[in-house]
Amino acid sequence: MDQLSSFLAATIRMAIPLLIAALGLLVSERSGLMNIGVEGTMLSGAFAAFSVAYYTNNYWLGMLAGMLAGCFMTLVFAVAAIKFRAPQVVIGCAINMLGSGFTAVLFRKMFFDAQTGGTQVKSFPSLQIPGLSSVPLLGETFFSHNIIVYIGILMVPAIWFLMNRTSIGTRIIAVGEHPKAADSLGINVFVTRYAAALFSGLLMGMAGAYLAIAQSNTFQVDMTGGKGYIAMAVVVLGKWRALGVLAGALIFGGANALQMTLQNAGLNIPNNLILMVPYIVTVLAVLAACKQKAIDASAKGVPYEKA
Amino acid sequence: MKEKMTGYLQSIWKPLLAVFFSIACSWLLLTVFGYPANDAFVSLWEASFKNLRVFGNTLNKACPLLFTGIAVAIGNRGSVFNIGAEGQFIMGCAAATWVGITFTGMPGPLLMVVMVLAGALAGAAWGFVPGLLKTKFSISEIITTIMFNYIALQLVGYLVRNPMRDLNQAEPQSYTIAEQGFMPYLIEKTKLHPGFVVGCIAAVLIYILLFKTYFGYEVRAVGYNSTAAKYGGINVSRTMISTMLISGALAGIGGAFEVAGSAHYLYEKISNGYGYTAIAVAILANNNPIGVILSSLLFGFLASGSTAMQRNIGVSSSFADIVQGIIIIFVAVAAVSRVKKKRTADKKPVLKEAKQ
Amino acid sequence: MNVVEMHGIYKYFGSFCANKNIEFTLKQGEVHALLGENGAGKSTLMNILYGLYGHDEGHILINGEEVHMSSPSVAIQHGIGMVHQHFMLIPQLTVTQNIFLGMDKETGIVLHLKELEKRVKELNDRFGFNVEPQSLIWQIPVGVQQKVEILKVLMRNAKILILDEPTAVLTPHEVEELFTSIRMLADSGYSIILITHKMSEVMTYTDRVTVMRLGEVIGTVDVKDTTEQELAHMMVGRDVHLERQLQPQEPGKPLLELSDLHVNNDKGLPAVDGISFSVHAGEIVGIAGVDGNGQLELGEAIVGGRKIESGDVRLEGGSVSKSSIRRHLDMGLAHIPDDRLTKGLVLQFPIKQNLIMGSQRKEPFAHGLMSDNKAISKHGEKLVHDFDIRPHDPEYLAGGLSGGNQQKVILAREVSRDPKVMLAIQPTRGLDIGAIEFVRSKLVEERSKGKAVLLISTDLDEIRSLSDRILVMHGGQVMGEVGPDVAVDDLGLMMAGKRLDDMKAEAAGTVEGGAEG
Repeated sequence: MDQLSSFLAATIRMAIPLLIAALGLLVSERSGLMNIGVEGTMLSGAFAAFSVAYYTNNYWLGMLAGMLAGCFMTLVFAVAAIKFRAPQVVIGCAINMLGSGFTAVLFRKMFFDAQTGGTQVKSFPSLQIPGLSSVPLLGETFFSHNIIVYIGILMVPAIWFLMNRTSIGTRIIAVGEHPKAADSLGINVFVTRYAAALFSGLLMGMAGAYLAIAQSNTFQVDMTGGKGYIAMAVVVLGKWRALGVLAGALIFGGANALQMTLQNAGLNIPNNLILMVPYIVTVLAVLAACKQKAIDASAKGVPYEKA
Repeated sequence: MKEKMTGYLQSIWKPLLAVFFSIACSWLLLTVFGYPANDAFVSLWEASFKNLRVFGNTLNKACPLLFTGIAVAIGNRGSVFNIGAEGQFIMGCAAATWVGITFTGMPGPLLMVVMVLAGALAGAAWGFVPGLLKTKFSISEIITTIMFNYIALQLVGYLVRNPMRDLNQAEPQSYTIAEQGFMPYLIEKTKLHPGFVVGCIAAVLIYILLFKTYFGYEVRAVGYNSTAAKYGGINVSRTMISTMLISGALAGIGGAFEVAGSAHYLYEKISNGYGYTAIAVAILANNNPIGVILSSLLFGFLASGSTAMQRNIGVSSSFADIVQGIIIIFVAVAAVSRVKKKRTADKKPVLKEAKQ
Repeated sequence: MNVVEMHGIYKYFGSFCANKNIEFTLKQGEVHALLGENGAGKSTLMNILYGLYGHDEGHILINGEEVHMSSPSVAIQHGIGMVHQHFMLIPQLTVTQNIFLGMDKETGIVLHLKELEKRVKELNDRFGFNVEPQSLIWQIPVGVQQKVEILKVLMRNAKILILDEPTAVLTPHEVEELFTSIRMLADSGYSIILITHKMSEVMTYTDRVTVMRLGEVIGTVDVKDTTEQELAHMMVGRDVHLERQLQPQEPGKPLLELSDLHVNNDKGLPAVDGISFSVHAGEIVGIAGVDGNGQLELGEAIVGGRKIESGDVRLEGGSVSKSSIRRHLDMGLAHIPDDRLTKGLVLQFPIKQNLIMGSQRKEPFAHGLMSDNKAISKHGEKLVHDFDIRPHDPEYLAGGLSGGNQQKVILAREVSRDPKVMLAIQPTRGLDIGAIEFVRSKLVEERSKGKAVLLISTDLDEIRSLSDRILVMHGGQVMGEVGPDVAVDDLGLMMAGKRLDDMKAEAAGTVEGGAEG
């Protein structure tokens, strides 16, 4: 029982960064931007959040900084992809290198002594929701997380509402699906795509910040460890819908939690083989999902050019 | 001939400009970060060109980039975006190591050949699966190749900690391969092994394959417009899978040379991100295999220099990643701005036709 | 009262002058046709009026007031709405979401869908459209999508409607419905511009007509004061005789045979539903029909690009229904695809390399694995001259060619392979007159050389002037086979889904039958 609830709680904890990043990516992809620089963007968010939280001793400011850093990275992506119409996959790769490089260089510069000792910051505390958190099974699973977890989950209906019930959402879908049609109705394709990119950056940065100052309380070089790429798979798996993305994120959260449970269980399985689990699950899950119809934006990855 | 020369010049000045801009940016960044930028570049330079020994070292660093760079380039030509060169390279290392520590009785030259073949096979296999998933199930190769990179990394982690672990070493690493399998150094006092030369030959061969054979014609046709290629009677899936096989094999061969020529044993960080740097290498070379020789030298220079920079002035060697990222962005933007200009100039008649 | 006046409009694309000194006026409450051949500059002019293109000279007056049409939103503000030939709808959104797309000032950020759907319904009822406001666009038929386009324009309070070739994808019945609605709109004060190249629509449904040719306005006349012949003369600059170019010729043995062919479309629904026919050596068989009745799928199945569910395709007697495209080509099939840009050419390749697509593995272009660049260049050099592909430079990139020259590259490639069967799908769509004539004459030439030619086209004139026999497709089936001298009305009925046998039976049964259409 205890093990089950801690497994479930871990599933949610591990799913959140994937969920938040994937929701951001969803908005970006539906607007027609194929940003594979999630990994680097998340790393930047993680580092910015960590360092600001360290110097201000305030995790909220850290979170804000993480989001702004993410936003900055997607701005670079957006300018290259929208204004200069550079190939988006290539630029995404560059963003990943920049994210990895900048954070490593700055981390060494700013926290050189910390590299060995591991400088820690005050991170988001878990909230024990009075009454609910002591309910057996459910309490630990659902009601003992830090606030970002709840924000992340609330973001699912928020993004659903944004995409399906607001004119902003229909605009985003329109520029991703048929930019020329959107243009003919006086919708500014460029502005819409920039906005979608920047918004997605906020969320990717937030996901990175979560890794550094909510899930843990420190920064490590390349600490995202492929979560940005897995977030891309989550979007595919969730078929570009908010609820689907939630389900996808939970699957990968589960795979991660399983990996942790196996590691802690003291089984005689080599650690590296357990660490493979999330990546193998990703491939299998995408393979399982590929046959179903999805609503991916048709103009994805295609720069728009006015006649 | 003269026309050809101007053609080459034109194809080279934009990348050069991009590299120049990137150096300027790097200088600025180092200064902003509070590092002595001039000293940094001096140590970068000295680490690569001070004498024959360090220059050999640069070529040595360039070797894995050369193989993975050609691997990425041929993939890009056929529109299979192989981000998996990293994993294919690592698998090549692992397979070559396995051969090297298993068949210890084999005569040297034969062992070397078998190691390279094993590397090629392992790399090709690691490229084949994403290729198959892409063509059969239209799963983006971007996601699968990256996942395969992580899987390969963990697999090597497992190998060097468990079945292949040399218990005499403190750090997890494999047994050393049989000594007769060590590749000879080409120049005395340098660690320059034949890999770079073989890589140059491979670059030329792949260039010929891409531009002088019907197979290359088909690869490029699929890369530019797979629908037109399909209606032209080209088997698109088979071509894409072949491209992935060749691409993976090249990266795997690079791994085999790294083991047989340089490292002589397997360890977790044997790749050092070569497969990712290869993306920058290929893009800077405009996916031309011969150009990859030059750009792999540049990035090899950067790789050996960045270690020296970390040692001498304390800037993290990851600074090389920043430079790579900047170069990619500049090159990508510059390349597109060229295409765009050409397109708008040629577009009008098409436009006129299309509008009514 | 003139709601639109355009004076002295010039528009250049590079050195090409698409509109030259245009004078155009639109009166309130009229249906005004803009008539001209492909490439006459009609769409360019209307795109200028709608603010999609800027113009280089001239000025535009809307309701007597000069307006600078810098973007579509300016046009919308001045009450101009455009229904594009290729619909500007977002398939993933509902009818209502599409109609209110970009109208944030009216809808606010949060969409109250119930209320918006009600407004769509009201507008619907006013003009007799029956569109379901909640349907997703990709689920509704083309004819209904067009109504959504019109509703979209009306919802934006447009008083001036531009319709760009609105009937291209409609059945004759849907065309009738559309023009009933258009007349209703005109009667309630809307002014309508109709871009078209169909004479019959102009004569039957419009009040005035402006004829354009080669970027210039030839004249504006009242429809009731003119005749088809006069308009045709203005349009083409010479009297048009839709003369048959075919010399009588005895067909040979069957080269292409289809029996009970079944093929599905991309959605997995039956698109070709049991079709059998054969094409003999030395004849051209035309397949007529409205777009989207399975012709494309039929063509793709014949070349081997689409899976055949059941039935058989035979080339010279040998079954190819399970063969690869390459095998089809090797067995002597030539293929002019419907879309030259995506299916026909690699735009980034030079002309000469496009000219060997499909033969790249064969002598003399390859010896073993190695390509022979000299042979490829020589071949390119020869064909650019034989087919007058401009520029006469085999190294020129295919992407830089005009549409007509791109089509010539494809034609040259296919003809030079010396095929037995030629499959041509929409071979002249979007080409200028010169290129159209060139392509058609080449098809006739292939026929005289004893090839079997299958022509799939939605252009009835093309079908009638080139074919020895005509098959009409509707809903994936053949409605009947007729000769080229068939009455247009009968063709129209068959395209709308009436079987030839039924028509004959009706004609035999009742004296006044078959008058509708």
